[in-house]
Amino acid sequence: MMTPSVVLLEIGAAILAATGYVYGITELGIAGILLAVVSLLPLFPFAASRPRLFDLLLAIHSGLVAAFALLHRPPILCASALAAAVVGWDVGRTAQLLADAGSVDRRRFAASYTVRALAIGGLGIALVAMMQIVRVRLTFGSGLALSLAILVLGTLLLRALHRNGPTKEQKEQEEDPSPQQ
Amino acid sequence: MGGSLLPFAIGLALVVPGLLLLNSSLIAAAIPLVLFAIVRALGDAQAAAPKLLLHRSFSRSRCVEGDEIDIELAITNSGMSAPLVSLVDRLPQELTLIEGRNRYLGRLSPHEVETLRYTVTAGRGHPQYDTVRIRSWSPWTLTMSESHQPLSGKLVVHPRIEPLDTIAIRPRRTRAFAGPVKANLGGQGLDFFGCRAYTPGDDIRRINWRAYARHGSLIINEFELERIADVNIILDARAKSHTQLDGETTFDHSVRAAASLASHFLDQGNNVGLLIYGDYVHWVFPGIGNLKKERILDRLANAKLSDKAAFQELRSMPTRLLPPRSQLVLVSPLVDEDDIEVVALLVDRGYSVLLVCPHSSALIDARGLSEGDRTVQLARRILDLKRELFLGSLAGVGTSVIDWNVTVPLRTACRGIHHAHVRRYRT
Repeated sequence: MMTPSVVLLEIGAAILAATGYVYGITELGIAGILLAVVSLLPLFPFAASRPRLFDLLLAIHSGLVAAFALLHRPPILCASALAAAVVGWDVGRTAQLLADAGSVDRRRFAASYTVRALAIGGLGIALVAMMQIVRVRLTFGSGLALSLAILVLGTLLLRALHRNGPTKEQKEQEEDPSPQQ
Repeated sequence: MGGSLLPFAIGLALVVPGLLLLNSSLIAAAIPLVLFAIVRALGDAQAAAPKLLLHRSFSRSRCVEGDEIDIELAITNSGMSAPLVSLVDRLPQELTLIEGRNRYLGRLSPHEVETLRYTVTAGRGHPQYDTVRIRSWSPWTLTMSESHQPLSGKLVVHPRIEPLDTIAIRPRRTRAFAGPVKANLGGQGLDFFGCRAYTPGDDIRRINWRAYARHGSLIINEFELERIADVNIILDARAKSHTQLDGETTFDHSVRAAASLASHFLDQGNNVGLLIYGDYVHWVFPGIGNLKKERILDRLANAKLSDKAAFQELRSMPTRLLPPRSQLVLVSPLVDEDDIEVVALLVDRGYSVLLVCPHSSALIDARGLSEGDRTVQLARRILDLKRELFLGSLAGVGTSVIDWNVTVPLRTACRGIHHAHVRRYRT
């Protein structure tokens, strides 16, 4: 499952590198290549027990995408790169969680999981493409509406996290895993 | 849970500047991230822990180290949903998986039963299972929830016992019941002990007629009484006494030796007690029979090395626990010069001491480390000479010594027992 994750992260980095060169922003193109090299790190054994590595890779991808977006490069390319990176990040983290499962079971699970994650990523890209086709004009009013929508979604998200977070007893058990008599 | 927080946070970090700068590219780039976070958060809201019934069974719950145990874990989905489940039956550190699988990943339909079967080899100790880790994925989203379901299970793994030939012990005091230990008293027995004048009531079959012919008075033969004795096995669990090489310690051998000796003396009918000195004073009061053997083996199963300051010196050993003038069997590599003094003190107090001394240098030989390397060879020679002197000093204070190269069976080593050169008595 680690290989699909790295492939997706590489796709994200490749899109950014290519965008940089095509649009003549050499520095960002080189940054994209460097990011592609760094994205190979999860293949090394030390990465197996470091979930933060994927968080870091996603953050770097996002930073580079933000740089491209600030320079008004095509949104579809920025969104594609970030969609590939976020799916790669998710698949990589899941691969770490399943590292101790049997290899046959893991392969079967990996295929279906990656497809589902890709579907959500693809949906995101489709939305961006649709936005370009529809050409929504970004004004103060639409921006305000979007902000409110994001605020509501953020609140719902936090509520969901709070509701489904580990209970106090579970936290205590994790901190003190003494055997039960 | 945190799986949806990071994409949302990054998405927010892109959207906010996008709105402030009225940059649609930034907002567009954030869409996949925000969508991803929303889908996962919706999944989290719906996710519920799967209702699984677990039952673990062992082919046997008591065994000897190195034995194989077959374990079955039955997983039943008692809920109405069909979650995708990843389950790991985490092994206690004393167990090693040798066959089968102790983990499962797959979808469980309602009321479906899945059985994991695996075989483990057991190391000495009391391996205890506590929980089973369960991760479940909701059927249509990508969210995962993790839980630890309590499912206890305890095994008892005793140290391996080696059958031994007869070991001659000579405690100063024996018990009243017939047994295998020579009591240093005249009476009924097998070995000739001495002669004495006939007294009415003596068995006339024991009259020494040749002595009668020579002296003209009736003299009878006496044989050495054979009785049971109090035998106390002392296991040295001080970390400083033992050597560790490639994960193998002389302590493991010492534990096996203590178990073998306890079993041997108990099978002969003796009163056997156990003192594990090092981690704490673990004391099993002397007794007889299979129940006592189980208690001693249970205690030995849990024995572990320790470097507690209070038990660094053998001098602090609580000798008041040990029955006076009984036989002590000290199982220890004894590396400290001060220990000789303590052993001498025990002999002076009237105890008969048998020292079983596992070789630490034998571990070096077993790995062929001394071959070719002159430094190691020299070190090995110094170690041997030091050890020879050390054991000579111990024999000099009245201790019988079994010098045990751990690469050979204890049974063989017991044949070469060095009995005490002198017997010291307390006046």
